[in-house]
Amino acid sequence: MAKHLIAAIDEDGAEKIVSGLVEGLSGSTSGSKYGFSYSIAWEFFPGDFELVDAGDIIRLREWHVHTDISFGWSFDLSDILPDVCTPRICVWVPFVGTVCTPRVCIDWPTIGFIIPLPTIISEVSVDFSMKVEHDEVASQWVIKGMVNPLTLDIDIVDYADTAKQLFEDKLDAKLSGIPGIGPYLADAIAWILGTVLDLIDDLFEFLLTALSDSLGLHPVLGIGFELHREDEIFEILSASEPQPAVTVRIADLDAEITSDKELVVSANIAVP
Amino acid sequence: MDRVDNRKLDKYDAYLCRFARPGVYRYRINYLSEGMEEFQAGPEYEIVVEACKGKEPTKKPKEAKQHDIQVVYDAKLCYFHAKPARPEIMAGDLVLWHKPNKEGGAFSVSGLSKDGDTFDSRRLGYATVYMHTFLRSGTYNYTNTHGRGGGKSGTVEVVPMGKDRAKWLERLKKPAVVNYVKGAFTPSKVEIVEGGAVMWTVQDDVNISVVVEPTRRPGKIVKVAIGRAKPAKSQ
Repeated sequence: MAKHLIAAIDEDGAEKIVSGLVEGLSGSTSGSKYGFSYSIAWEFFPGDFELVDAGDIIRLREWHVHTDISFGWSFDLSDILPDVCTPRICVWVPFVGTVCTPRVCIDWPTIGFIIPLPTIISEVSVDFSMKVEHDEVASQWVIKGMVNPLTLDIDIVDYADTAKQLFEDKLDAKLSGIPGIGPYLADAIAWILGTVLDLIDDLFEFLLTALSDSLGLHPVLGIGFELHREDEIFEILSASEPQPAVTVRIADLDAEITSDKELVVSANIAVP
Repeated sequence: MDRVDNRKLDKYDAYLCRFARPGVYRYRINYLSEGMEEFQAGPEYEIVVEACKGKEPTKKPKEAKQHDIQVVYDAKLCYFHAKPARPEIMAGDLVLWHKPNKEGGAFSVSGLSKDGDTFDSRRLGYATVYMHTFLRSGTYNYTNTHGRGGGKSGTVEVVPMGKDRAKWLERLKKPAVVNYVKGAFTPSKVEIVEGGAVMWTVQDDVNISVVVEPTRRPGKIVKVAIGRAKPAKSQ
């Protein structure tokens, strides 16, 4: 039986809607964990888009996600380095007398730095199945795309090794420039790396979870996102003084993709 | 690079003066407020110099005893205290001022006696010593920027301490002494290890300063046209 109302949108129009939604997933988050501060920012870039009638599939291919991660670390060296003071040395100065230098103690600083990682570029290919739901609380019909299956792989845990190497390089450069550290440099580096490198692994495990949560990605369950919401009470004629608006109630709603590569939404209506 | 400037003493500097004449010397520890170029006068302190008992009222240099005064910053009151506040010394003794901590920024000391004998750490005069403990390796070219003797210079070469602590401590036992005599720094070049000290002393009857000017990065020449170009002359 033919539907009372039919609306169609072509592939280009559908792509604009979906691109906007996916690009809206771009974002950032920051915080601190395991003694590090961190910030992550991710941005989606469109790739290929296709409406597939077999199975009513919205297909994204080779879209890219650019992920930028930086983490910061600081440490008070006086926590691990001993007090170092120069001895009092006396020397004869003509016409003055025996002059002694004061005892001078070295102040160990708090060191810190921020490490930005190279941008991680990941490729996303996702198929979304069309699904229509009725939100009774909001009295709305909801057209959704459901992931089927998920083929998104942003594995930032692999970048932990890069992060560790960058950390080592920065630490070496920072510590080498501290006056007075010469005899203690090797021990300080060994102690700090022994403590921190494992924590970097833990940090990146945590960041992967934070990123996945922020993107709403669940490898097992997949994700769904809303393409469109429509009020159950639909205005087919707007008000025109002195006539009120003419509305109908959408009794049911279907969404499908046709062989013409159009997304067609059809509805049966009833008296409100 | 370390900052080396007797006019602005800080944690790794010290100033020493020989008090040859008996008397009461009143002096102030001056401080630099943030953003200021001129020192502000701090509270007043005294040094009591007693005459020696015996034939000579003043000790000879080989008999002189050094008295250390610590310059300590009071964060609540925002000025420096002298500890001890009122040392009593014998004529011919030495007094050294130094700041054991970083807090408070730069300081200077200046004072005089009733007889008009003055001292001022910003101007190194006869029988005074300025010393600096060098923490960072490098080549330090210093200059006397004071008065008619200005422009004379010298060099301190500071070598890295290395990883052998025992060898480093051994090298520290040999501070370098530079005399300003006959209008020049002698020796004009000295070498010490990181953590080592150089003492500058004045044997001429002049006031000098010892300053390492901060290295400036080479600048770019920028040509800016001001005004409009003159119109070409018509033939």
